[in-house]
Amino acid sequence: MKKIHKAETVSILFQKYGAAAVFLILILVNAVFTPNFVNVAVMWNIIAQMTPIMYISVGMTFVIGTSGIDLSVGSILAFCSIILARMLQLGYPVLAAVAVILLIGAVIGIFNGFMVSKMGIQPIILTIVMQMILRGFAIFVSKGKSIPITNSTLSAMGLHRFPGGVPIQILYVAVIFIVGSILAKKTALGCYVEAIGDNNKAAFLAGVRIVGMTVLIYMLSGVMSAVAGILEAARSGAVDPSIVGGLYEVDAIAAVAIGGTSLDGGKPNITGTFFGVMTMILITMTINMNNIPYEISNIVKAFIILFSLYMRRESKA
Amino acid sequence: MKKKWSGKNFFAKNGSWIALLLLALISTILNGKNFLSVSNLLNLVRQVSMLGLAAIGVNFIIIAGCKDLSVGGIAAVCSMMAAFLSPYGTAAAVAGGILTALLLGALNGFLVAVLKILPFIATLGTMIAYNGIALLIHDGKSLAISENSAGFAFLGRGLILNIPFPILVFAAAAGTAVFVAEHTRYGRAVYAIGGNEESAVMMGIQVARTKMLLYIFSGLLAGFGGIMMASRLNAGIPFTGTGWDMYTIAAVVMGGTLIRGGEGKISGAAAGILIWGVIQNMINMMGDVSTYWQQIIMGFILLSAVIIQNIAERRREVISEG
Repeated sequence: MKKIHKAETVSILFQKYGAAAVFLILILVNAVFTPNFVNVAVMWNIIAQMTPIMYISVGMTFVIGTSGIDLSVGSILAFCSIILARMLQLGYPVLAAVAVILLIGAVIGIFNGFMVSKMGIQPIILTIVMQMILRGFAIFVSKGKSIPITNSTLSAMGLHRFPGGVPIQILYVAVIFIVGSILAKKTALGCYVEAIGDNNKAAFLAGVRIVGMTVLIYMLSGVMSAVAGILEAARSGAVDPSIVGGLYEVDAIAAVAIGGTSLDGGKPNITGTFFGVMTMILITMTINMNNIPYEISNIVKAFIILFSLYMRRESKA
Repeated sequence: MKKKWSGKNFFAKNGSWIALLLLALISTILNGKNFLSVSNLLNLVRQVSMLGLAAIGVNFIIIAGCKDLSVGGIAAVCSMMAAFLSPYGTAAAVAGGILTALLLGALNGFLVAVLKILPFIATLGTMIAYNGIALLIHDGKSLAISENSAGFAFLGRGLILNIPFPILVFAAAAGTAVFVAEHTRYGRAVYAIGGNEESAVMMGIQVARTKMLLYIFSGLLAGFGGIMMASRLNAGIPFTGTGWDMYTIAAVVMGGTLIRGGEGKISGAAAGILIWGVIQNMINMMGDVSTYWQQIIMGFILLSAVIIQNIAERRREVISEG
């Protein structure tokens, strides 16, 4: 007979509400240790900064749900935002440029999905390669130089503040949270993702069109990265193709993992991912407010991620 | 009973070596003596031997169904540690670097084998952390090797019988790894865990201990790669090993190891890393190619290698089932 240890119940609790719990713990720790932690202005800045990660994370949640992974998101973002910047520089209207890069994001995503599902290439290796190629193309577009964003319409999309200093990004966050949740919960997509992630063969036998669904999901991830590229370009005064979007895949995967979507595939948990990104925002805030130098900040970040994953790891029978 | 030799099967099983030969042939046709000279070939292998060391460890880990993304970080920390300790003499620098490597590898092993965090995420976390530590050691700047450790230069630049020392280390490590994988109980345990972890547990294989050792080995190899890099460049550089996480996986997969684990050959990784070297060498010989084009070309060659390997893989499955 097995006794239920206290630690086990805690870990079950963490499994269910892990992301929210880590989020709360971080707030508590900060409230105690960080001087004037409730600095609203800083918080708004960081939320505005992290909105692209939010979009990428939502796409990533679905991809990871199918037991895949997309490491090319940062490079898709870079490629899309540099093309956006270049088109605006050449005088194209914002709407046309946005349409073009959404299309580019979709096409790259479709290619990824096709290679994964039809050609059977491992997602991790395919998207590593795509990461290299797309980063190369991004740098190629501007010959390595950064391109300034001078278009006032686009900049307004990224820099507008509502009264009280609330950034416009709060709207974008709300939109993606609602759209993502609906996709995951109210449409068949969420079920299909879970079916493919849990058991590819069974899903196929049950009549799920694996290739079509996988292509659709990677396309979603590509489009999300393109949107993130627009948001990134809108917020910053210039796009540097060798830096922009670097290591975003790491933040996104960490957010998804903290959020409770199993990396072995399974139910896409958008609410969890939302809290996952919020946790990443809090981590960044903690680091900024405590004046932790950049070098240590990454170490702290890594250990918070590892800690939260340890707390909500799946207990093996 | 020995299976009948089949040309198709041979091709499918040695796809990476055949791809390497083909690439070498193409390079010979394009570049002639420039490619096929002893000095160029030695140079080519020396350039990839540090990355190759790390790839051997990663190959084992992938065969066991795990991942190690932190090899680049370990190389960076060890390169910095060696430079940091170089004022105390060569022995201190090397020993300190190796000790650091073992420690960082053991931390990975602890996270994966004891705390049972998913390897991909665990080593993603330690990758970030190790890169941070490497920056921390000397404020993000590189650190020159002290004159007190004169012998240290041998690790990266020494020659034995005209063969660069890194190549010898790489060859010795690869040979040992092939032996361990194919002829020892430990090697079989690694394959068993990668094939089906639950059955491995039921067979009485000590999964946690095996994984722990794997990560320590991987750390040691990557760390020694970093130390040799520091010796080669005469400085500890915090950005040593940038991209190794991805490059090692790419080389391992090109070598024919399945990313899901349970199958693969260590010799394949050697082929994969040599393919990597030949491609880089070819790009270098094209003369003035900007780095972004290098990246794009490299990516496309990798992509086609993976696709070809995948087709061969499927044929092998068909053959073994039929």
